[in-house]
Amino acid sequence: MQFGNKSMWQLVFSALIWVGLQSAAMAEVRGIDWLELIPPEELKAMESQPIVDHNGTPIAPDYSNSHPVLTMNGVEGRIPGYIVPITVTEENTISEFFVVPYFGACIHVPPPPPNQIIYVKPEKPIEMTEIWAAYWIEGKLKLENQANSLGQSSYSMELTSVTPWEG
Amino acid sequence: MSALFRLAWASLVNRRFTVAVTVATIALSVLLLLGVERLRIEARSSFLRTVSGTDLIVGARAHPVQLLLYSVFHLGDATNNVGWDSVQRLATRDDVAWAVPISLGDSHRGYRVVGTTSDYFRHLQTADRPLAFVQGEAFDGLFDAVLGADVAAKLGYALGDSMVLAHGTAALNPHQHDDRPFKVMGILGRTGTPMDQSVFVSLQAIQAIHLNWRSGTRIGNAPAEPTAEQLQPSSVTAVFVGLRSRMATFAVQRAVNEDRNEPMTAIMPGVALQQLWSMLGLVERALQLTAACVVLAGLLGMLAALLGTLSERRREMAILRALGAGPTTVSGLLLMESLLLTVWGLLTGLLLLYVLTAALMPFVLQATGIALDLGWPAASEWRLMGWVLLSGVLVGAVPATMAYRRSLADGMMVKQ
Repeated sequence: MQFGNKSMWQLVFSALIWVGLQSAAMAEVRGIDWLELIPPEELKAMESQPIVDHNGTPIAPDYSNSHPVLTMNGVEGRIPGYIVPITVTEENTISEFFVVPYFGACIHVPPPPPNQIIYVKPEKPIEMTEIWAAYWIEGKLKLENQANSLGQSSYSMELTSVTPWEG
Repeated sequence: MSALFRLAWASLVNRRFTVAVTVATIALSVLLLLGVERLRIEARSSFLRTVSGTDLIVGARAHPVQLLLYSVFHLGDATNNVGWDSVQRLATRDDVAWAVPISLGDSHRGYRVVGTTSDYFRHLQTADRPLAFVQGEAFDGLFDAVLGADVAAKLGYALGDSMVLAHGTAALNPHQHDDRPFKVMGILGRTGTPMDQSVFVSLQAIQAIHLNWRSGTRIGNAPAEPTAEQLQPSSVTAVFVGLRSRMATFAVQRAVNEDRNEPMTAIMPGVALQQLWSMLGLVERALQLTAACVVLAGLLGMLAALLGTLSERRREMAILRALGAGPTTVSGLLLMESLLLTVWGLLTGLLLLYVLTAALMPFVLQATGIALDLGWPAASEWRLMGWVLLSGVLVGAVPATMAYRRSLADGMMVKQ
């Protein structure tokens, strides 16, 4: 390799700067914690609940007190979670899915309350994912006013990307 | 380049018989490779288009995949039934928008009979499209039946025709409900799903024809005018559920799974389907690997054929060298020949695939419910063909290199 070539060095330097910018951009993506989606008073109530008991009948969950955090509307970031497909196209791509904090948890743990579920309908269906694998789901959180039996709004997200979560 | 092409073509045509056998080998292996891929894609999309628009499927406690298979695809049998009061409790929940129960267990000349409500035709969809009637309408009277497209076509039924249902799912069945024939009231359009091979009747009709059956055996004739009480279903096989809001999916699913009155399982169809595919994934892999090995075998056959003739063609190479061809041209000739053989093999294999698909389409549909497609090859199929082409050229590099070395060594003199 000839080290005397000036234009080649320029190329190497610009490549390094580009790589640096990319990793800086990555570092700027805001991480969203699942607990941020729960109002503080509900979090306090959850902390006072008894520890999961693996004996006896589980208590049916009461979600009438589950509310979203209104300030999370419009927040852009990424959240680690599990993808549950709702609608799958004929080409085996997912056109609608839920993002949940855990999946396949033992039956004694209540299912996620509405403020721990994010509904996503991407503009273009995404490639099929592993149900039991965790992913970084990046996008903009939105609060939709949906008429449901609980009469509350719920989280949805404008999707930017889905990448596998690796440790 | 074109001179090389013409030379290679002429050379191959000169050895017609060997060439034909080699091309046939490659063609058959390509047929297998593409056939497996096509079947895999069609089976998957056939299954995927069947499950559409339903939020939850509820049945007696069973493995999710098993429940999916018998309730939607009519493959296998139910483990147990769901009691009518559980169905009512489910249907009257605040978060449930609609609930369509189905009752399986009878058949008509091998086609499954589905007892259900007229809501079935209003709510159930395939490929995101609602069910459409090409003739007639949903059942109205007690003994009215609606036929799926294939049932009407294969058995030649028209509106107003009479048909008799059989007890159980065997195609040739001695247990006929011939005391209560049904009238064809409607015929559905093609969906490319198991609905095409189903006969739909009302839940009350299923009750009515079984009124005189005890422990699976018929005693006498069914009562002529059954009362409403007699027609009340006591249990169903499964329930398709649509929710008012998607966000309630997990809560309703959990409520059904933990119901203390009756052991039931609620599944999200999309999730259960993915579980099915992960189970079948191993089989798919094995099939693809086998097909790839067969292609390799075909290409090695081509290698054997090319290598075999190399010695005989020494004089031919010498003549070419004498006429001014360099060693690169000579080896290029062999590369071109292998390329041509692979291309011919690919095209013949593709042609065979289309011919066989066209010929076997109706049988495959009848036997498995999978609708084969005669369209352009899919992206994955193009990729596979690309790999075959590349492999063919790589395999051709072996005799090409040998020819290069030999023609260098031989020069224009043939040592024989």
